Amino acid sequence: MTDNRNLYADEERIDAVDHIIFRELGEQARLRQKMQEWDERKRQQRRMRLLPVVSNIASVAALFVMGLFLQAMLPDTNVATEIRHTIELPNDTTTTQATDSQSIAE
Amino acid sequence: MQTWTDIDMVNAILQHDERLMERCYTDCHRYFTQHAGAIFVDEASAHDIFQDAIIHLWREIETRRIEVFEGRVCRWADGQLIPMRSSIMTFLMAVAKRKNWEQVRQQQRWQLTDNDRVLETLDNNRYDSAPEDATETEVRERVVTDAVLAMTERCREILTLFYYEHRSLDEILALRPENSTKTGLKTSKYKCMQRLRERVHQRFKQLNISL
Repeated sequence: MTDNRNLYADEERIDAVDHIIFRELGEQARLRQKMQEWDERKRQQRRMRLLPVVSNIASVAALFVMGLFLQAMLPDTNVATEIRHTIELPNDTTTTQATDSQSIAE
Repeated sequence: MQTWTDIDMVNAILQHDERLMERCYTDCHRYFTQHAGAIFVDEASAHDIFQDAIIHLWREIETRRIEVFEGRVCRWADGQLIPMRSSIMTFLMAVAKRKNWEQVRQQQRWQLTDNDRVLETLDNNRYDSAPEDATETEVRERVVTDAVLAMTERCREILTLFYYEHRSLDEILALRPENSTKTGLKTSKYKCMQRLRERVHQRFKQLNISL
């Protein structure tokens, strides 16, 4: 890497003050770099904090969509209604049978 | 959470403890964000001003213009060490407001005149005052610190890339699309450095400091 401080020595007189200026430029640039690093770290930390929240929201959303899908599928099957009918039928028969036997007894 | 006083903050910066400095930076940034309000034009410029203000504060502490004396945070003013009446955070906000004002003034000047007319900002109402017991070297460094801080962002960027990062003019040209030609960039760099030198030499003369 070339040292630019000496590269243009002829056209720009380098004196003792210049050395303080270069040092100060370096000092301030170093601080700015540090601040950039800290800003970046803060952004990463914020992202890491947000990650579980986002994944939770995604899970809830997925469950919700699944629920909607199931609800949409349910009327097509009619299984539940058929099962209910099958269960209710013997009850009705029993009632009818009881009524029949009562009338016979009379 | 442990209590964080102004004295702790000053000591952390003096010790160059990176972990503590980061904490100091984060705390200052939080305070700044809460109190900046509608002072600054946009978020990006507010952040730039905040960083300038932080550098100013840190350089004040590193060059011992602000220091802890007899258990109190003091600042050199009018040749003596006086206990600070405001907190470090209030001082930081004052510096930020001043920087913002300077920036607005510079922008107005830029609209009226040539782009290179800069570095005329810290003449009045300067922050610095050289402590009486400060050595000539210390005063010299403080003058340079102020002059570098007072540079425009454009000049600071060019000079930092060239002198600190040792980038070539071609590389700087690629990084900064604002400069269209290599000759233009070279002239800008030369003018920025020249103005910085002039400013420093002028101040040295005022303070009777030998070169």
